[in-house]
Amino acid sequence: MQSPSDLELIGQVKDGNDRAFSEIVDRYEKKVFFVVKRMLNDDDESADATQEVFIKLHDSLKKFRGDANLYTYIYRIATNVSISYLRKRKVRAVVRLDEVVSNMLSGGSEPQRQVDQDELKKLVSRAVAALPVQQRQVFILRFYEELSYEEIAQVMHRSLGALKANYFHAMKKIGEFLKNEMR
Amino acid sequence: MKCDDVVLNLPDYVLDRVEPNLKRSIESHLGSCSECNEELAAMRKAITILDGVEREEYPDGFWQELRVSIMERITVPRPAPWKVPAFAGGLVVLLLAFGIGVYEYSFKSGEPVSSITSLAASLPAEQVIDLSNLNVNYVSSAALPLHETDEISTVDDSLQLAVVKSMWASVADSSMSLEDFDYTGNISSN
Repeated sequence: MQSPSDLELIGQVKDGNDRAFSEIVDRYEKKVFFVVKRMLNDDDESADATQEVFIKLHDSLKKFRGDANLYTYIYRIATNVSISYLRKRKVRAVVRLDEVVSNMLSGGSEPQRQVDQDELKKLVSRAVAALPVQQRQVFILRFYEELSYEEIAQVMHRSLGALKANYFHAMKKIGEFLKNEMR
Repeated sequence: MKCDDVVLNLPDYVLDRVEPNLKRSIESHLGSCSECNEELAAMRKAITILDGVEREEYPDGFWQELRVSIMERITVPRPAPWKVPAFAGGLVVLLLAFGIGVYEYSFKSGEPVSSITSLAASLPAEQVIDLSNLNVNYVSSAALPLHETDEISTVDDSLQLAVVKSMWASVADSSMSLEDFDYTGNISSN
């Protein structure tokens, strides 16, 4: 049997069917969690934030008119909740990428040291977490979630040109961060 | 194509996510531009590393537990926000700040206060109560404009604006980003 579309599930949720909402959670919880995790770089906070995303989604579905895709709507809530969490952090322990880059030595011919997979994951997470918020949002949605710029524009309400610039600068900073950390 | 246009497309070019026509234009430019080739080499290096990172795996139990927690929070009746002590305190602050915000907003912009208050008054009570769905932190932080840096602006600087905008957010759709509202307090068309 064909599984119901997102729109059909939303209709059922509006009729008070919690099982339909559970199906929506099942479809999107991993995507939401990983977007939030990459934004926050913290497992516990990400689990809490993911729950909050779905509660906000549930509360707002009755007003969802279906003129946007559910997934872009969910990504929007997910990135907004993440930003809200980031701003609640009183002290940021994240190293600013700009500072790292400005302190870098020029020249790139040094051999890169070997890093294992665990270390690499941590390095990349740190690099992403150190990006300015908007660049981080665009990078996560474009690189990991593979959304088109048009879809990201729906999520973030920004121009395509600005999104492309954010993506390029994010990638460039990550590259410089990794190069610096791996030498 | 100019260098600026080319470099902005390099991440997508390396990941083969560009249209054929654009790809040809980029390659044509790269054939004669050493600076863009340097950018391309750096981009390839970064993307090779990023691509080499395995996706994190979580056990099935983790997802199951997360799903159960979400569904529990949704299906278990939640207390009305104004019955939560922390919220009640926050609401008092919010309402106080709102009053100041409306006054300041009106004074500075020349917009009549009544354009906000009359709208609120004309709405069904339950929609106005939606204001309570937004806690103070959320309202004041979410309304801050996003910066290109990670630095957190002080909430106080924008509280007045935040409060004014929060009113509009609450009456329209509390789930929407407050960035949907422009600085004059008007609901944007999208």
